[in-house]
Amino acid sequence: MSISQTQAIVLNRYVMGDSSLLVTVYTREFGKIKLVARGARKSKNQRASALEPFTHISITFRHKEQRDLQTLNQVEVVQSYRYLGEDLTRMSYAGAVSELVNRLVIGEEPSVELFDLILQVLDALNREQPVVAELLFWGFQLRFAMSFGYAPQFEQCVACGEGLQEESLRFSAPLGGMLCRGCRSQDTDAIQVSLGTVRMLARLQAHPLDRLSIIRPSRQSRHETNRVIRSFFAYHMDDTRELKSLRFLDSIDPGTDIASKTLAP
Amino acid sequence: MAQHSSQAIATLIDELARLPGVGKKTAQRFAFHLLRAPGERVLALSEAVRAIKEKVWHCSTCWNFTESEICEFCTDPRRDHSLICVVEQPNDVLIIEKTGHFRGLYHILHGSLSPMDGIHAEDLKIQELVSRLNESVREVVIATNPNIEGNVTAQYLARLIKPLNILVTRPAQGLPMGGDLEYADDVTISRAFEGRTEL
Repeated sequence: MSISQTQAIVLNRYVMGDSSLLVTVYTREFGKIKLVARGARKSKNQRASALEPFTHISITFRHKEQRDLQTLNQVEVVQSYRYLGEDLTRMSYAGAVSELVNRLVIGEEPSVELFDLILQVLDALNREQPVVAELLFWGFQLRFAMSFGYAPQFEQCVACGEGLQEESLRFSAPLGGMLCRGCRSQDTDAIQVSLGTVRMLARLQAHPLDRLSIIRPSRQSRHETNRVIRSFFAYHMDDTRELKSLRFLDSIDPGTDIASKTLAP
Repeated sequence: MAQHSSQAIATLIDELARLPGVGKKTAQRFAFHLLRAPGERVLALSEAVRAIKEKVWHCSTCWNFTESEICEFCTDPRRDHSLICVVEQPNDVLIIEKTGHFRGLYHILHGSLSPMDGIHAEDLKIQELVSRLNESVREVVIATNPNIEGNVTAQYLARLIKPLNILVTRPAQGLPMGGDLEYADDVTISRAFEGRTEL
């Protein structure tokens, strides 16, 4: 057993017993860990606000190898993203980020790149207008897949390497990118995608998150983007479950694209 | 856990250990206390437990616990029927009543919205709240907990209620009595400053 200190992002927390919290965090040095915060809910204890979801914190904890639950000793807020909790859209997309990380990161697999990415997307969701939240979430998903070593190819045909010019293109999740007209026979299940959507996906992947707000996706592009990303996650990351946060957003705001609620193809 | 000489004792310990905050050891202490207690005390306890399941149900207006069709808050003519305070749990009513400062009515949601846990509006008593908002209601105070789920619930309710031309308010958030600025967190201090009042 050792005393460890690290920065962390709160993914979720549940009440445990009368006054304690069971907190799941993604840490800079140790990956995803679960912490028990004893007495955190008592009103004189200042820790409860630091342990709210999406808070960037600095923690000291008793680290026992091979143990599922670690014990939290101290916590301090580094940055709290208060607007995430004050807007339903922002909060739902922040919840979707948290769900995705919680679901696909199995345990103590540290990645400074992923830690910084989660901070970037939470910061952008907090700062940008709620209307940009969907774009930020797509940008996050593409970078999240890249942090696992999967980068879909949107700039050229994944089979022959030719540039993508024609209107009717296909996206192949198994091949990991776009197929031009000449190569589409290589995957007969590939999804049809318009050139406009392909260009948008390339920008979502390449542009910094804080520059995505200039993109104005059409209804068709939103639908196609959701299909492309979810088919990619389903094939490469074996993730076909629905994101509860996006299902919630659709239940309060039926205008959102129904395809965005689930990762199932 | 050691095997008990009586199946009745073992069953009682198992049942007591299901209570929140009660572990096996505490349950065992409770069970032996009950064994030593006078018969009438134990029967009174068992009768009290039976009564809450047989006589207590939800008020058809505010969804608080009551022994009649409509609870004593909702039928009290001395209370302000134009003011409704929305809370998450029946316990919250007791806490607010203890202050003696609120004289309106209540509405209990029986939970809060939680996108990440998949708790949606239809899982709470939200439709029941909207259906009681007639022209005699002038203000709804949303006193859900000041955490992510409580804030989401407040935002959602405000979106539903504001178009009905009813004032929607939220209790002030700030520094606790007897507290110390040095130990308060950033969000609480910034909210306390936003909600500062003139002396």
